[in-house]
Amino acid sequence: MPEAKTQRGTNTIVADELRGYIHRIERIEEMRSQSADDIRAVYAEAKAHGYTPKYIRKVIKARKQTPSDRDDERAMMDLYETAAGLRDELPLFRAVGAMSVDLTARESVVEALKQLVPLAGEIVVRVGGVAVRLWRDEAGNPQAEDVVDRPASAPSAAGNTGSATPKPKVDVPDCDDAGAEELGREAFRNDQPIISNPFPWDDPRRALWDVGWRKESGGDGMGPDD
Amino acid sequence: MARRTAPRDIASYGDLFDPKEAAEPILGRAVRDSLTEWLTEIWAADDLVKVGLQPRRRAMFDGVPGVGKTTLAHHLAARLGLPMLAVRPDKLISKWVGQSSEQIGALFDAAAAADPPILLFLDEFDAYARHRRRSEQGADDERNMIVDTFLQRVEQHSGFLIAATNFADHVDQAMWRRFDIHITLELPGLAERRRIIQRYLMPYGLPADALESLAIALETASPALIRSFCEGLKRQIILGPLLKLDMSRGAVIDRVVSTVHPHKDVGKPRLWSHGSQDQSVRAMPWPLPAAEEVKAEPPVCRPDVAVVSLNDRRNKP
Repeated sequence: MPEAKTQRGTNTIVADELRGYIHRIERIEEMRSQSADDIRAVYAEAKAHGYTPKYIRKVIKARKQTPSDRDDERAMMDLYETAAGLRDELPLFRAVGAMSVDLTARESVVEALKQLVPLAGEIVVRVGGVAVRLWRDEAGNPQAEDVVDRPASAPSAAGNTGSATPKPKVDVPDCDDAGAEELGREAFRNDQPIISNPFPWDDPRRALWDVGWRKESGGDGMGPDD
Repeated sequence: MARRTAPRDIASYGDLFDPKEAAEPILGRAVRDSLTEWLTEIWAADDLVKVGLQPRRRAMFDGVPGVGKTTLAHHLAARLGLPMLAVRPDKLISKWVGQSSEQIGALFDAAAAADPPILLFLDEFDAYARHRRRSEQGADDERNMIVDTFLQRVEQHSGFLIAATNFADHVDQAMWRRFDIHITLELPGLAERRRIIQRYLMPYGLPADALESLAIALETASPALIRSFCEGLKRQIILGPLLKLDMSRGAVIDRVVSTVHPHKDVGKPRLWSHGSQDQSVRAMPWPLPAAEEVKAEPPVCRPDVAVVSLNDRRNKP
């Protein structure tokens, strides 16, 4: 069968579809140039009221960034400007300088307080947000150290958990490591379950008792082997 | 100033399990070995620290419902000598925006401060740790925040933590990574089913052949289903005469099988297809003898049946 010679011209469906896309893009382009004109008008208005468009542009750019991006950019600019000889102080030195204002002030307060330490006893005082303990060593020289003040028992849990999880009062056998293992073996022979381990969780003999039980049973404490 | 929730008693976040009440789990060899390894690792903490390692503290159990994830976690806690707190979602998740995260934080704080330490057990973990997704509504934000809070607190938590889920593939990837041990609990194999029947049929027992036959007929049943079946049988033995029901063997089995069903998505054991006509029922002595009267030793030379994996059938709607 001979191939049908269909001419593709301006009157086909394909051409219509394509023209549709082109028109849409053209419309959007037009809107864009209109928006650009609007933006320029706003800048002009701001300038007329005495603001500098250059800085407004910079602020708008900065607002598009995340805070960490902004910090990064500032730090990198610092570094490059210093390297290029535009700054007279290194960024690190400037940072340390800013910090030392507080640190030295705090140290001098601590030094002054050292004079007040009694011979027997100690002072705990809060300086610069951190508590400092001051006392005299055996030679009588005043010493100072930071204390991280933490309540003796966490207030959120102390009162409550005490009642909720009473410490099991178990008589812990008095024996050495080998004795613990032997007790485990004995428990198996007496048909006691593996969870009847008499040692508390943080006692290293608990593991040995468990090992003894398992050795005597020849299994892993989870029922007979199949 | 924001109103903070008052500190809560740790027991108010769920149910406390005493180490003395744990049952012996009935598990396949591979799972038992990995648990023994983990226990040994925890007890060898001092030696591990010397080489710069910490014992693993967080485990995730996954498996179809009723395979014994809670029993296993409770057994582990008991071996370690620690109480276990099974956290209940209704005690943690709140209808107020932001309060869930606050309560999650408070739970972990309370668990960290508990003395003796507590093993935290988070059942139905997929409820807290679903994949985070791009927020389209406020509820998505809140849910993402719950997952984020968990991510951080799980990472920081220094105590033992076990999470259990039926839907391992619903758990957020980042959350999955935070667990050092992942154990999949399969349905019990033949040997395990034998022992589960023995345990839950007490004080009754079955002779070796009948036990073997029933264990085969219960293939693909979960431990929970086997337990329901055995308890149903015992219930019938006690209540049947009081209700003047037909107490013949077939009638009793049919009544039990018709009141306890496996879920449609898991396998249907043969016993449920055949009912009282099943050969295991014909092998069953009736009335059931007491456990002491039978010597229920497993036959020695029977070939074992492979554990049936339902991985591909799971999670189908």
